[in-house]
Amino acid sequence: MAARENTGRALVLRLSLADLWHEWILSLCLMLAVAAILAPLLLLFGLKHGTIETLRYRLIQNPVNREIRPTISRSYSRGWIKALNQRPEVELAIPNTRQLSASVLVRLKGGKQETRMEIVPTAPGDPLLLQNRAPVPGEGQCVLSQEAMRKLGAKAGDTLVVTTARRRGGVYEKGVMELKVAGAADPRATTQGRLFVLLPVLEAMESYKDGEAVPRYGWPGSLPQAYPLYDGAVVAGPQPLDNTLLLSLRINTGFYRSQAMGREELLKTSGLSFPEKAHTYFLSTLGSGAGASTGRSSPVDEKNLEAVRAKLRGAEAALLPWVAPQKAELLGPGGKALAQVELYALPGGGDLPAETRPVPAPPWPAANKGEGPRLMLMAAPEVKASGEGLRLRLKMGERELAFPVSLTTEPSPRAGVSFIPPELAGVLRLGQTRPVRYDPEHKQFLIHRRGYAAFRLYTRSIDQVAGLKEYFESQGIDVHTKAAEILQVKELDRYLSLIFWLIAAVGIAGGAASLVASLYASVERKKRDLAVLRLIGLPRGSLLRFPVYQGVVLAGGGFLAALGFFGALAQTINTLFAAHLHPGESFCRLPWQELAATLAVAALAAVLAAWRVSRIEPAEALRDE
Amino acid sequence: MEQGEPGDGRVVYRLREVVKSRAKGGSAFELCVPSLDIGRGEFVAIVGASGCGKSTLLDMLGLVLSPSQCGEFSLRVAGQSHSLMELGEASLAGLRRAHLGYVLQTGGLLPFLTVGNNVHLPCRLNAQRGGQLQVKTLLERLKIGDQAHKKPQFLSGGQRQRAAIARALAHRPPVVLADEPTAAVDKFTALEIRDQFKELTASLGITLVMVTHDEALVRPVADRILTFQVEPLGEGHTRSTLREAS
Repeated sequence: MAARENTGRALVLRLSLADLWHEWILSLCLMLAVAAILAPLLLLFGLKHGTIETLRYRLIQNPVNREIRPTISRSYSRGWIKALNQRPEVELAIPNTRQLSASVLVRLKGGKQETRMEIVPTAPGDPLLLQNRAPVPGEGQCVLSQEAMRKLGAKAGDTLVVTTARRRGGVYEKGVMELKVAGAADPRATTQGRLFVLLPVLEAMESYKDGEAVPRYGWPGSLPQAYPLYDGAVVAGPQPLDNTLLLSLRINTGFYRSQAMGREELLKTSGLSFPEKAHTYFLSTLGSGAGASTGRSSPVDEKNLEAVRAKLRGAEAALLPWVAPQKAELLGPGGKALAQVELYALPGGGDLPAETRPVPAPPWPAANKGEGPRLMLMAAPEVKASGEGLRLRLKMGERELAFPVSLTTEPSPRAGVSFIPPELAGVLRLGQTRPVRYDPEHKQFLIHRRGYAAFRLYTRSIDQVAGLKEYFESQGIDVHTKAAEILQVKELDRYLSLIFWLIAAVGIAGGAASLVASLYASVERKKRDLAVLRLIGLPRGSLLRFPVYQGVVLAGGGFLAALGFFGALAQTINTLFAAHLHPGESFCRLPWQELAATLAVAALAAVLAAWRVSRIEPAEALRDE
Repeated sequence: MEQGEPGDGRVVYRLREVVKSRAKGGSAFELCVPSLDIGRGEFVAIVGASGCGKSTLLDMLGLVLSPSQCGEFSLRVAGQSHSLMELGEASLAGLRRAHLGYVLQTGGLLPFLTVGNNVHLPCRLNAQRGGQLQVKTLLERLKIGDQAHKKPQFLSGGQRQRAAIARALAHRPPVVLADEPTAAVDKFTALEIRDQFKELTASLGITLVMVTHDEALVRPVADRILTFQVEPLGEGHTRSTLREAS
């Protein structure tokens, strides 16, 4: 039985094909009719998916619409912006410098005319550039806005001379750098003249404006040298201080307390051992307000010490700065940890009479003015280390500070107590509150920038802008967004989609109706032949396949013709509008879902024709009506 | 009326008290077959004026029309008797395919197949092997062997009817039904076709039931001739009863 079924199936297929072939002109006409219906439908689908989708996507995903900027500038730390970048709805947040630093003079190399332009920091992945047909500039490169291109008369590959100006000590100075034009961003990104560079370039400009030197571009200036901070001070002398003087030491000096401190306690606090003849006092920065309850001190700097020294003038007493002990790791040449050390400041009591000087005495000379602190370590006696290439490493929260250090010949006399010069201890103390790094080139500790004045952020889609805006406002940051524009774009998008689907529905309905009519008429015309097949014993079920096969062949043929037609037209459209397209975009393209939908319509039409076939009676063959 | 015994192996069709009623345009028509047996290898001609019910009878014998009432209506083929009233459409189609052959008034050939393929079609439907040779022989015996590769539209009326006969016989059915097979051809061709048809069915042992309005054509060759007695039963009501022609 199964064999017979298969024979029947193959037979019906052959018969239906033979019939189509026999009437090939009619079949061709039908295919063309189908093609005539399908081609505009395919084109509509293609255009919807190409043009409308592309325009819609551009409108909706336009980075300009997804941008969030703070309205006020304040200091946003590196870590804060990093955390922002890790939020799932944030595509990219790029820190920005102060507005003032961003204004530069630009001219074409070899050209004369200088143009004032705003410079904008960018970073890898910046959608404002990437989605506007521009690359992200590399080191020594920049990207211009179309308007900037026009103003400068520049083209990609040209070299620009960019001048940053500053006024330092009443003198007008210029920092000049050269940047290669890597590309131009579409006017969609900005209609104004803008120069996009990587953030470090702008950071350098900001530093320069602040009077600092930027060695990378050969710009002179001062270095953001790290300065020491102290947690307290010891006052020592051969004579006791009178109470009035002692009290005055905490007036306008940054110190909160001043009191006598015994030798024992002093030894414990500072690691210094004073002779019995010395009268010792301790100045503390431990706050009386919030600071006192938390046990945190608000450190003092060199100026505070100077104020105390001024008050002590005349009295025979020395001021020895004190820094709370800091834990550090001593590293060997290969970076191997050799020992844990606790660092105490070791100030010299140089001015004091010999019999009142504390022990140990510093084995290093005092630091020269303008140079950084001496990098020396008088290690605790139990520390087993010697030779060259040693480093000290301190952990400060998330940050880390490491620098080379050399050992003194004599070790520290006290177990567990390692001494370093007081200036070094003070700089390390600064590192606890501000980012400090050791610059090997200048052999100095430099302060990192504190944070950024602003940022530019892009959400992944416009739907996330409102939520993020709320988040910022809850953090007390007023932001600027394109909320109103987004609403309009969304509304337009909704209407466009609706209109398209209405047109498509009418098109599909018309196409289906026409295909049904064609196939149905064909069955009606061949009624008698089909009845003969029924009469000579072809089962009803097998005969049903006759119009289905024909429908598939006709619709398929028509579909291929329509596809060919569509392909040619789509190619033409895409070529015509190539200038307006981004890579990967096309104005006319067909996704497979829509292809499948079109084929489903053809199949449905064939099934309806098959239903007509099922009503053909074999007796109809016997009569000539 | 020659009557076979019930269960007689020689009887192909067996009809008892078969009635088919039809109402058409306000007039009622009733075809009665009190008793009819058609034996194997018989040439039975059904004659009568148009409207007497010969086509209705042929439709019933051709398994495409069911009687309104019946005492018995069976077909015995391949050594097996089928009670036709009890069979469904699929089984009837199976019987038609395997055991019946049809010759229609205008041939009923499929226009999209060549003559050869038209004739071969029943063999293919029955998944018979070696049908090609059989088809060739048949066409040659009907003297249209040279037309096999042509489409029916290029054949003359007579050649078409011969091709139709060849198709009806191709799969060697025990029964062939012919509906006015010579109505569309001239007198001379009709005689020729009649003789070839008779000769072929007789030599193959096939039962032939032929409907025609031309009694003179079949009288010399038919084994039996059946006709109808038409009687009016009242306003717009006609009854037609099958009987043996004298």
